[in-house]
Formats: sequence, C-alpha cells, structure tokens
Amino acid sequence: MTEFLQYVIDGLGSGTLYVLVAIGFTLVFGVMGLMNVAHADFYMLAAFGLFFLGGAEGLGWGVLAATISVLIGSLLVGFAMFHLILKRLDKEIMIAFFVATLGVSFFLENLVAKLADFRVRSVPALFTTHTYVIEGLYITNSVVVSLAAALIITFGLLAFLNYTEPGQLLRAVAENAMLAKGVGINTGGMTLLAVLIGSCIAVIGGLLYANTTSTADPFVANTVSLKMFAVAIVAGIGSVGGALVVGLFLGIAESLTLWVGVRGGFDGSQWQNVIGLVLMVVVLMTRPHGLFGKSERIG
Amino acid sequence: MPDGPAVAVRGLDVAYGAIRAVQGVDIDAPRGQITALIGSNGAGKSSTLNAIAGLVPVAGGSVEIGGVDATRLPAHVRVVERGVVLIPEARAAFLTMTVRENLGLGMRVGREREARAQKSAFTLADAFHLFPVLEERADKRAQYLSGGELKMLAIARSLLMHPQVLLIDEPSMGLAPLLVRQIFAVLRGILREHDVSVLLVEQDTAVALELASSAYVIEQGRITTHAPASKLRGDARLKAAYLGADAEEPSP
Repeated sequence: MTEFLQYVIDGLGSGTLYVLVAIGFTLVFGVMGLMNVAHADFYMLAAFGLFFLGGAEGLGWGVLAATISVLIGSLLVGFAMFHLILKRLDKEIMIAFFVATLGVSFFLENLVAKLADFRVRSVPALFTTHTYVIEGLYITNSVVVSLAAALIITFGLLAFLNYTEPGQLLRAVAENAMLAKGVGINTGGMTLLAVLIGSCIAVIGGLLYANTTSTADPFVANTVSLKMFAVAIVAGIGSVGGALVVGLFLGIAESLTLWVGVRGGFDGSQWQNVIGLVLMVVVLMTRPHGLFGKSERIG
Repeated sequence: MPDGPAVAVRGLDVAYGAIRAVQGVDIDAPRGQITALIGSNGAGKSSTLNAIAGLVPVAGGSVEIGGVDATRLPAHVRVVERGVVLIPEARAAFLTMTVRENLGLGMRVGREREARAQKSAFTLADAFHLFPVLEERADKRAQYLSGGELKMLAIARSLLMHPQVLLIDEPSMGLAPLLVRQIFAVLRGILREHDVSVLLVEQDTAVALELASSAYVIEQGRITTHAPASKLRGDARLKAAYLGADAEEPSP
C-alpha cells in the first residue's frame, strides 16, 4: 500500500506540471478558438531563462532575478506572438494557426538549441530540496510547491473568470465573439489578455518543471505538448477546472504504469507516454467535447 | 451636434467571397425617427445592418454615423463611442450567463457612455418594468429562456447601452404582436426624449410599415423603393409583392 501511495504522490508531482501547461492552452483555445502549438515552448523558455540569466554559466543574476525576468519575459513573448502572428491570421482557417504556431515552435526551439550548443543544460535550483518522510512515504517540497501552485492558479483563474468583470468579458468572447463585439467588448484586447495570462501560467509551470528535473532541454516541448493536448482535449477545450482534474489524473496514471511495470516485471516507462494518447482517443470516441467540455464555454 | 441623418450609408457593398450580398446601397436614417428596411429572405437586409454595426467587412462605400465617417471603425468603438447598437435576430444573448449578467454587460457600456456625457435614458428598473418576466428570471441562465424572452432580454440590454442609433434585426420575430406594439410604444418615448434613431429590418412588411415613418425596399442587394411609410401602406405593387398570399399565412 505504501509503495502504491508513493507512486501516486510521484504522479501528482508530474500531474501538476501537465495542469499548468494545459490551462493556458485551453484558455486561449477556448477564447480564440485557436490552437497555439507553440504554447508548450514556454516550458523550454522558462528553463533556459533560468539557465542563461540565473545560472553561473549564464549571466549569473541569481535565481530570484532570473525568475522575475522570466515572468516578465513571458508577457513580452506572449505580446509579440499575439501581435506578430496570432491576430493576423484568419480565424476561420484553423490549419493556418496550426502551421504558423508550429513554425514559431520550431523557430524558438532551434534558436535556443543553437544558443545552448545543442545540449541539455543543468539549471540552478529555485529552492533547496527537502524530503519529508511521513508514514514511510517520501514527499519532496518541490511536489508540495507544484501542487500548491497548480491548485492556487486553477482556482484563482476560475474565480477571475466567474467573479470579475474582465473574466466575464472573456467568457462573453468565448461564447459568442460576434455578439461580444456588438455589446462593445474589444475582442482583440480580451484575446491578448487570455494569451498573456496563459503565457504567465505556462512559465510558472516551466520554472517548476526545470526545478524538478534540474535541466533545461531545448526540445522538452516535444513531450510537454503531447501531455498538453491530451489533458486539454480529454478535459474539454476551455475547461480550466477539467484541466486540473485530468492533468493530475494523467500524472498519477503514468506513475502507476511504472508501478505496474515493477510488479509485473516489465519496463513501465516505455508505456508511460502511451496513456495520455489512449485516453485522448477513448474520450474523443465517446465524448467529443471532452469530459468537462461544452461546445462553447470557458471557466 | 450637426444636423442631417443619424446614419448615412453611401454606395455600400458587402461581399462574401464571390457572392455580392449588398450592392451600392444608399440609406439615410433621419434623427429621432424609425426607418424600416424591408425585403424578402436573402435580399441583403441583415448584411446592411451588420455592415453599419461594423460586424461584417465593407467591400465598398461608406457608413457615416452622426455626420462623421465610421467606415473604418472597429465594432466595439462604434458601440462605445458612437452609440451604434445592434439587436441581432438570432443568438442575441449570452446563453451561459444569467439574465442579470447579460443586462450587466449592457449597463457596462451604458456607464461608459454616461461618462461621455450621454444622459441616462433607461435604467435596470425601467427594463424590469417593461419586461417583468426578466426580473422573475434574473438569476436564471439565459439558455433556460424561451425565444420571446431572449428577444426581450436583448432589447432590454440594448436600451441599457444608451444607444444613439438602434439597429434592430427582425423585431417582430418570435414576439406576440401586442408585445411588439408595447415595446415600440416605450421605444418611441425614448426616441423622442433622447434623440435616438432606429433602423429596423423586417420581413413582415405590415409590421414594419406600422412602426416606421419611412421605409426602404431592398431586392437582391439593391434599394428599389424609398418612400414614407404612409405612402407604401397603400402601394398596390408592394402589397402584391410582400403582402400577397404569403401575408395571409401565419409566420412560422
């Protein structure tokens, strides 16, 4: 039982990081109806921000200054992405968004890879790691911090969407953009707001991810984006609360695959990445709008 | 404020790909009056209205609001700065929001316009007085309202926005004739008091000519007739075209 719970706790740790990347993606998709494939690259940008700005091999600003710079930088990158690319595309043509943001993703990844000499780099830790031992279970403070961050951000965002005026305006744009314009809402401005919120949440996830793995990998988005799609689609596009539940569930399910592997005498890690995809296929076949999704709704 | 029409449309073209929905349309909607745009399905009525509201791109021509060119203004700027408010025919309320939240979106624009020295014309109390059912259902989600109630919600929300120009797409659709008269009685009071102008689109010619002081007839994207409503009411040709056998049947 203890062993099982240990795998669940480990799964929660990675699950929170899936939640944080999926929330921004699902928010922007819900508001704009746009798939920003480059969204997962914020994980890579956060890690390399920490490496280039904070680490001894980079500018050596220290972790705090680097973290603050990464948060501000995420807003700048989000702003640039919106004005240079997203707002210029025809909203009716989904494939245009897919191809254009895929291009952005390739560009960013290879640019950073070049700057990092095509190597996985090690990043300075955000905080000193502690491991608590409770009833035989090992719980690191980074899992606790990640889980707290995911819960606070998810419920904070839900409260923002449901109980504030800008949140209500975002929901209005998500439900019916034409009518939103007709009641005087600046739909472009609200879309930018969604992009900025999503970018900021994603780099928080990226910083925690870098902290957990201690590495900055230029191509980390290859795996992160798969989880992002799986969580957002299984939860239902636009469902922020659903992304929390599904993200944590996916993390735990992947971790338990390892456990089953250990018990059954096979290498579970080879099956880990399959879980999300299987989940996605099964849910799309039975509930095309996702588990928590309605066709036009965010929040 | 300069004299002249509240809305002046000149040589308006609206195209959807290769389909030219509106071609060279000229319309003057006089200040403080109700002007009707009548025509059959697909004649280009709604396209004209949406182009004036800034919701569809204009392929040619110009739209002046209160004597100032607004052709290039984004829709939300036309709403907040010029008071151009469209009441769409369908999907006219946010279904996932409550009635109160929907009205709140209108009041938000109203506050903004009041800050720009537009006097308060219509309050939430007025809205609930005009449509008591909205007060009863204030905390229900709009998706649980009937078609007629949704229409009332859209009208109330639009009046709360302190409009200068009201563009109404098919006001009689889904509403009992008595209620339409009641709404327009209230509307006329507001128009007189606050210098609001109305441009409405109607398929039901009889209703349109009863409400409006003058009317334009649009056929296949072009204006074919423009006359005072009193004159058109007796127009045999128009009767034959729009009030003929079809008019006897109840609208679906």
